Amino acid sequence: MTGTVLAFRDVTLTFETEEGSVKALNGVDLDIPTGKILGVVGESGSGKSVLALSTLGLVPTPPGRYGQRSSIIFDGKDLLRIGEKELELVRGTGISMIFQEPMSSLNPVFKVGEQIAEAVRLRILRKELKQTRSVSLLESVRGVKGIDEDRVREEVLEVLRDVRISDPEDALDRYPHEFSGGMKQRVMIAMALAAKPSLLIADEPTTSLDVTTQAQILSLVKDLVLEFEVSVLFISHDLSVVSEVADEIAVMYAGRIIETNDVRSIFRDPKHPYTKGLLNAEPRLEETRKSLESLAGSVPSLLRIPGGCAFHPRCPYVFPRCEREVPALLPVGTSGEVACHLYHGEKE
Amino acid sequence: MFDQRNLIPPFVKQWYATMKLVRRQRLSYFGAVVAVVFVVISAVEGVFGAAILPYNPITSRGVPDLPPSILQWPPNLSHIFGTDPLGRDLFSQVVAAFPLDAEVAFTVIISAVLIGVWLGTMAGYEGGKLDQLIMRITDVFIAFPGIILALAIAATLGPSLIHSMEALIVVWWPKYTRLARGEALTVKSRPYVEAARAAGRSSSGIMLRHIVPNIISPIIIYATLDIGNVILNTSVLAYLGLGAQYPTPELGRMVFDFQSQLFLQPWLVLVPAMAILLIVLGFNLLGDGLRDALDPRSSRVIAAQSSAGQEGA
Repeated sequence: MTGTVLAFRDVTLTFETEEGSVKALNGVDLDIPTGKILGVVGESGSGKSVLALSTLGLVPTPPGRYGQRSSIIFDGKDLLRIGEKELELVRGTGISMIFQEPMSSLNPVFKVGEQIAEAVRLRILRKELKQTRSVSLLESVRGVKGIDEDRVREEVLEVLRDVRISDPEDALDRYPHEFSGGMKQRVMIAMALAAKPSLLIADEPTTSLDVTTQAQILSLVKDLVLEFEVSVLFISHDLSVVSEVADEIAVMYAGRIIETNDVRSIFRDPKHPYTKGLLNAEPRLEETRKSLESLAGSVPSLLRIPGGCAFHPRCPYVFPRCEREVPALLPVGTSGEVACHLYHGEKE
Repeated sequence: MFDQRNLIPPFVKQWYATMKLVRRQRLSYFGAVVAVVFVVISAVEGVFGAAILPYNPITSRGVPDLPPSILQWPPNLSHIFGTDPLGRDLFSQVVAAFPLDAEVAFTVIISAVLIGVWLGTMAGYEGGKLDQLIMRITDVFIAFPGIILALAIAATLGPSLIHSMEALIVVWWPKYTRLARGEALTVKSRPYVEAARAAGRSSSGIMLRHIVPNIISPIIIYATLDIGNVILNTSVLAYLGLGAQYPTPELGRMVFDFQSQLFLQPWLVLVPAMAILLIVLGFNLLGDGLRDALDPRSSRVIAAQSSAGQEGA
């Protein structure tokens, strides 16, 4: 096991609503390994997007509230304990994010080149000039003292080439509405990478794209990870998408990580009954099955998470202990960890 | 920094599409023409001064070829609107009043937009206590009937053109604060604002770079249709003696000065009054047209915008 870029430690996040408190994250422990792609899979409402937002301090608090013992360690700092000013320094230059909707994640009134240039300038300002402020409006028009605009332009072109945009010279001066969805997502990736972050968070980056574009973006992400030596937290509800890019997979259910393993092992030998169910619900090319099996029941409301193992009402292997005790995420077999009583302790 | 090929930003294209629609409606087109003529005359006069007028609006006396003992003339060939009791050409006075009213109107609107956008964006984007504070202060100003507040301020400061302008700014900014706040609230929840936050921009940077450019178009359009109202209110203040002072020609002031002549030489009152009417009507018709053109439910808008989009692409 190599180093860890970012570590979630017992992260609990509760939203106080009028109907009661919603536990969006329920004691998440997760390490993002350096230089690898960690895929997080889960159904809607399993807490995966909130997990992504919490790394950047983008969850509004209140109504959100983190647990007393929760911490998210990045670069020796606990992101849940540092102030807004310090968070601004981590955002962009330390951790970058690619969002779900490339269509609306670009500002419609600025040229694409200018938006990427903004990220480049911010990086130079912070990492090379060691200034902690951000670029002012006047400076983004006139240029920042100490930053060579020709160099900025060169870097913008380079990063556009890196995300395989044909004719980057032309792309610079276009407005977002002149691009297709796939192109916009490439631009978003270019913006995120222009800041040369050590961690890239991709929150369902291919959801709104068609399958062909999706495949292109996925292989692009994979290539860029090697090129930029960046670690990735890749979030998706789609197992096949995650299996395409990820080195390791973490499965989330009702705000908890229930199984982690490397991609091959998780597909060959899923441990948790939920993971098994998910895999059985995926169509496969090599097998001809009459019909796909589906998981019985549906995701529990986060207002009323079942006691014990949250999956027990839907689990085919359920036994009394599951209703009483929350299973811990513990190592099992040669690799991976699972949170299931089937593998740890007596079954009684 | 980048090459200037695709220089036209989207909001200019949007304006162009809007103006095309305005042209299709006759009344709005008329309004637009009046507004443009008013602005052009004011600008030309602002540059060249009263020298371009047929007579000096303040010092001209009587009619050269007619008996000098009679100063006041009804409309005739050399004075199309006649002269006032002091023998000054009424047409020259009315036209000389245009740049003054334009100056007041634009100063008031621009100041109100600047203050309103600044406060409204802060209130809308930052939210919380700051929002409450700004909006409650705004509410207090809106709670006063505008013209009465303006009168009170102008009267307290003492009658002069500058003071009436200041009074109108005080009355005018709250509308724009509300408008800007509402728009900022909408734009705030757009993904690109969250993306900018995720990319480490400071909140002032996000407001200036992402919020303001995206809320400015509706505000500019609203401001356009508001110019007529400012001119009307300037005239009201002047009519009540709180605006420009004698002998500065100002439309409202002229109505006030000549109202004693209403039944003897009605043109003295009617001409400046009609000028006010025409200008205010012009801006309001233009504003109506703009509002219609920008109503997203109108099918004409969709057609014009898609054709503008094709031209732009």
